[in-house]
Amino acid sequence: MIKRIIFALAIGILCNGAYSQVKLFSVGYGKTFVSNDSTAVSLTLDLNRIPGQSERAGGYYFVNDVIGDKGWGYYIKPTIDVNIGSGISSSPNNISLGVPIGLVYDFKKTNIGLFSFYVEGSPEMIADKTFKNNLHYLSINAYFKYEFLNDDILINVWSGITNANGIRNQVEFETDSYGRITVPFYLKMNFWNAISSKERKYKRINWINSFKFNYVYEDNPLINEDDTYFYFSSKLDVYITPNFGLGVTYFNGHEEPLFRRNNAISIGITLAK
Amino acid sequence: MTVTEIGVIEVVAQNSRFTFDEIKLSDPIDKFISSFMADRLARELKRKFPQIDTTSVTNELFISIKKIADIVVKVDSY
Repeated sequence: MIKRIIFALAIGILCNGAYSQVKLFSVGYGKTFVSNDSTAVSLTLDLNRIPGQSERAGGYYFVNDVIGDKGWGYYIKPTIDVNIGSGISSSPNNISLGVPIGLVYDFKKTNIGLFSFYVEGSPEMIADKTFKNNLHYLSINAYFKYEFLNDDILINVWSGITNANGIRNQVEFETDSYGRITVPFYLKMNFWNAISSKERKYKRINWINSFKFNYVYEDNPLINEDDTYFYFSSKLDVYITPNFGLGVTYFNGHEEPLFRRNNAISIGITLAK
Repeated sequence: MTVTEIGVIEVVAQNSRFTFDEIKLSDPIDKFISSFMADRLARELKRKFPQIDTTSVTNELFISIKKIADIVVKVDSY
């Protein structure tokens, strides 16, 4: 039943079409390595996010403007991240919403690429797929963003530190305080030039990796038996056309809000524009 | 070239590894800067062209602006 719902949702979204220059929707079918739910269906939907990790910059903005002419700016943007699967270990099974409000400083171009620095506060909610267990917190984040781009390769890097403080709500349980420090790292590489039948240039390989180190210093002890967690995901898309790709995704680790072990690999399709 | 065309190409050159002479109006914007840095490009355009709505330009860079010439049209619309 869950598989049918996920498939129906995925097909419905796909029929509406993706509008982004980059990957927006992915549907996957794969294998897990943790429990006996050996095959699983997964769906990801990212608005200004990457799976299991906030992308924070680039994408759609409520506000993006400058302060003076010395390189400073400010912004407000929505973020949505949906990572759900049919198996417990096949996906983080989380749904995130946030509204980062921040300041940005754009450094002058250097010989090695572009750098921008961001500092922001963001009210956020992250729930499991049943919405019975969810976190509400204020996240304070500081991070650098870097881009290198030439004719042959694109490299994007994002890293910094975030601190979240708030509460955990569970159905039929008392509310707990929640606190976390995270060091994230995000790397995207895009390469292998190709030309479509309509002579549109594109790159065949799109490889996105994210790694997070989480230190949870306050939480419900039944949810969090440990206080340190890693989460790693890697997604490799091979684009057959500029708009259609075949992908392989692997992820391993523990992720909010339930911090259950995920370890799975899946294949799927990706639509881009 | 118009003043806007020159200004737009200057901003793109200041935010990419390419020089002014290497950038053509017919080129796709993602040849010079990716959507990952579209927010930055919009802010730099605002610093050059104070009359523009940075938020609108940012979102259109993400959704519909595909070529350098499209940026020129957008800036000239203000």
